[in-house]
Amino acid sequence: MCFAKSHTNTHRMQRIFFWLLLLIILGCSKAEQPSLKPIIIMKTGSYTVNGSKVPPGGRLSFGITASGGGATLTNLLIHRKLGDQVITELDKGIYINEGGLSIDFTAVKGMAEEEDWTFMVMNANRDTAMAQVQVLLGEGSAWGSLLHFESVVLGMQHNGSLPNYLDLHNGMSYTQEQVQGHEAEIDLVAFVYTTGGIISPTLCCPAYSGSSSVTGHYPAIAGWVVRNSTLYDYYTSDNQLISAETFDAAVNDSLLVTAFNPGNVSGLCKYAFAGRVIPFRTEEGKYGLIKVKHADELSDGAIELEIKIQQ
Amino acid sequence: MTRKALVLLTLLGCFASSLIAQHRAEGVVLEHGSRLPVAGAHVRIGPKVTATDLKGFFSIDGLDPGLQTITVTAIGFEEHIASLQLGPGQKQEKLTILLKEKMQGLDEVVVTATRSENRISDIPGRIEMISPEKLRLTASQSIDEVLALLPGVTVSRSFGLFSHKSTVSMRGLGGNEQARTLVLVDGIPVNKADGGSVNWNLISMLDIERVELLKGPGSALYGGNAMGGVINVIRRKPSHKTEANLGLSYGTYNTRGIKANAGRQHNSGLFWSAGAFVRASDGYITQSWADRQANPYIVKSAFDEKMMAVRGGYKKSDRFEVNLDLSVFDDRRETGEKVNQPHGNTTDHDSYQFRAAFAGREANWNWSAALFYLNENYKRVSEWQKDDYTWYDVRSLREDLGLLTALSRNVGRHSLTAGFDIRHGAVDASDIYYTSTDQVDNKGKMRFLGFYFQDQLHFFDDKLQLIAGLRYDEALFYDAAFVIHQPSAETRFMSSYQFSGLSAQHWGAMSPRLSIQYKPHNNFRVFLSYSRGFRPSVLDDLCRSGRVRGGFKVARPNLKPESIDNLEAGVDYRPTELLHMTASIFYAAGHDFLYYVSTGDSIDMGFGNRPVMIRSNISEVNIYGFEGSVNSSPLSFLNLTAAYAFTVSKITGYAASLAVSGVDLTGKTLADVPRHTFTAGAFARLSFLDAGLTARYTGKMFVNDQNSYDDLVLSNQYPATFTLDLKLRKSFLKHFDLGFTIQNLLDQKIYESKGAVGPGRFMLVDLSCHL
Repeated sequence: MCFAKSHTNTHRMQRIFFWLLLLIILGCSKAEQPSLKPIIIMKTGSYTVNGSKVPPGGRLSFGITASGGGATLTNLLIHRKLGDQVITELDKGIYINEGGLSIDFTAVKGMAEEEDWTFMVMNANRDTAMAQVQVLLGEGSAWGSLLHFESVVLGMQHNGSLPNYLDLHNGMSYTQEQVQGHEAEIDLVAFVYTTGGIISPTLCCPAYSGSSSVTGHYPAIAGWVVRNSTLYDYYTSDNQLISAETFDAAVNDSLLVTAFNPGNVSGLCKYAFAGRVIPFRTEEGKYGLIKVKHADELSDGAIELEIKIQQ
Repeated sequence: MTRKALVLLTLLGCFASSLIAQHRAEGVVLEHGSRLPVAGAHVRIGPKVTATDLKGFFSIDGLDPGLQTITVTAIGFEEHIASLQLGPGQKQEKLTILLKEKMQGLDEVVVTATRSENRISDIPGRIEMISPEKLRLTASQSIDEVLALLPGVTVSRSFGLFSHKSTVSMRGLGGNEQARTLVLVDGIPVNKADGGSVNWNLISMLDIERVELLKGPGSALYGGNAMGGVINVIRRKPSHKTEANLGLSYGTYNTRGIKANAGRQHNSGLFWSAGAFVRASDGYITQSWADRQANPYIVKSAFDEKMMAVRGGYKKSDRFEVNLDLSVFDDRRETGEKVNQPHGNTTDHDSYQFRAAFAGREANWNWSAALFYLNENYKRVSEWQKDDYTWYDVRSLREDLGLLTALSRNVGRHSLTAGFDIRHGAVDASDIYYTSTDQVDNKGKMRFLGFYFQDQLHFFDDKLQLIAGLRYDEALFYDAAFVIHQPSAETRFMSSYQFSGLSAQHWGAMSPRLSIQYKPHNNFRVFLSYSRGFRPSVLDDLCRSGRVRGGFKVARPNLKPESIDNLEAGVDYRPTELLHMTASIFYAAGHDFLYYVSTGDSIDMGFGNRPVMIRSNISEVNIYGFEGSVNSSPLSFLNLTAAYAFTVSKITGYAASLAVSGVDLTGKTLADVPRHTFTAGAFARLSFLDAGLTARYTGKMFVNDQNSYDDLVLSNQYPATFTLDLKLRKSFLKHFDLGFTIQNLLDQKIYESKGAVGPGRFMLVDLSCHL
């Protein structure tokens, strides 16, 4: 009898122990955390959608929204694939903790029958999310006209007798006193400094920061609320890939768009010597070319530019 | 009387007599002049030995009666020998022993030069030593800074505590290459195979006994890295009684620290010690005013660091000794720019190292073996804002481990030493980008096997000494790779330089040494020495391509070591007990020196074309110079030192096959080598205060090996600098010690090649309490 009771008790204890153990194991095991990856969504509305037909020279407009999925968004990458060729249209480092990303990106349709656009975001965990849009070649041509400013003279950083600040879209230049109230329109400033042992007349933009930044030469820009970013294709300039004659022959915006290689751009363009032709794109997305007609190598000198920009 | 009673009485008698016979001797060891206690002095009475505690006290039990000899020795003091009569009626002796401070120099015992104990005077070579007294009375915040007081030693730690790294080089071997000088802690190397660098911040000053410095190539005993010389930091073991210290410090830029250490040597032979320090500073802005105007992201360069070390071991006699130690170090140093990351740009070292050293004596053989393992996790956070935001981390795991052995024996006139060393180093690193898709991986391993033999011969009562040594090292470089994943514009330009699956590279190096010395008496010696040293390429040059200042450098797996043949002559003369003078001249011919040379190609790194450079064995170098020093103790409490060094380092042969045409470094002077250096020091130990005043003049140095104009320095040479440092110490209330330090008393601004400026005058107050 006692033995039977004891056996029953033992069995009960074993069962209790088993359930306790199971509870402990289940309790100790980490609850599966949902994987938080970034999210990217293409905006709808007046944007270029998948399958659109756009003639060459036509405007492409993409709207992108993204969130980091719990981690900081750190990279936005836009590729344009033309057959086997992949062009990096934008590869931008960002740092967005809260609120997510919402931007519009514009481009110009080329001659390819099909363009496969890829939009990717990455977060600080190096997790990525992607969206794709295919654009087809439409009929006709949409190349547009350009504005031509034959001679724009700007003072270098220590030349106060000439205007230092330039609006590329209309060729208007401003002195230090005149620019007040027009800061949001300024796309270009010029300065001279020594880099790599070479005295370099240099084109820059208000948004360029970090070492060798524009505020080292134009301290007033540090206080501007709006600072535009102009991207210069320094590779084309350094290697003089576009001649002055080619520049002179441009009558519509096709060369302005096709000359700009987005893979080699910066807000700083060194070695802007006379004769150089520099493709650029403004913050607003306008493409253009700058021909340097004259450039002093003195910080109180001047630089003369001839500019063609999309209208 | 029964037999039992007789036995009992006899036993009682023996017991009683043993009680009566047991003596105890205790006392205090003090400095002769200042009457300050001497800690760590060895006291031997008969066969028994002990060490004094921090207050200079000692006690020894179980002494037999009769005439005994008491011998007291301590670093920096003359040996004290006296007779002690322990009579049957005396059970306890209380002694006061006064030690005279010794002229530092020839009679000091060092281990570095021969991997066995020898007096400096018996080594035909130039040995320098820094005693604990000097360590205590210099204003240096780290051990490498102290070395700058020695002639011919160049320390690149312009920013003191705020420097991320430091390089110590000797005798004209400039270029900020730590890999050309071997650094040991208790005889175990701390140079990392990855870059040859040493984390000097990891070497705590808490328990250093002394620092030995061997000038000239030491490769005949130590192999690679010892091309320019060997630095050995030797740590102190705890004394007999339990000792404990707690210290607080506070200084300029809100620099604060706390340190503690404790230890004990037991009668059984076991000893243990533990120590830790924590230090932090708000830092200062290192960039120039112009940089601050141009860059809105500049912030102060703050730092924090912590270290913990535990040691233990056993030594009962010379027959067997074991020492184990484990140390852990963690620091984060900000580099003065912050955009989005919590601490901005930082460097971070998480290191731990383990060492086990064994030594013993069997019959007439002395043997030693040491195992070590050093693991360093290096992380660098880099971020900046230009056209857009860039953020990437460098994560590098560096491992170094090895086995070092030595066997020695005296046979007649010969002191023979031989052994072998096995060392292994590895790096596994990644540049991980967060603002683009890139990841750049590089890794590599290197293994060394070295055999050495040395014979030290003594003639004519040690008046003539000869050392002949030879070492052969075989190295293997393997398992190397440089791979880029998902390259974008950030790293695509490096794509053509990827590699993996290379066949292993190996090479060998022979390092002979022949030295002779004539020492007619203890106050004079002259020596002549020839030695060859070599320095292997570091893993960073062998397997990593990437950005360097001025361009882009390409990995080169088949680099050969650089080497140097050194001939030197020296003399030591002590005309009086109070004056000691040394002088040395040296000539060295360097071969296959490593340089970055332009390949003629350029590459677009995303901000314009930059030259592609490659490390190459391309030049012959001639180095010659003179060093002299004077050390004097005109008064018992005052020690004066002065030293001068003159060094010329020129490139004499330049293999231009890989260089861009028109570039020829022949005739150029090596960068970072001052032609003239002068140091002086005055150290006083008074009854009310201890003081140390040191001065250092460093002459001009070329900024680069091209000897060309530098945009940031605005010259082709760094200007000469003169710094004055002061240290004051005061002991009070038996257990407290108050210190006041001023580095760079004249507040001289020192600039380095990137335009950053040093901290200027730096002051620190420290208070410590000891049992």
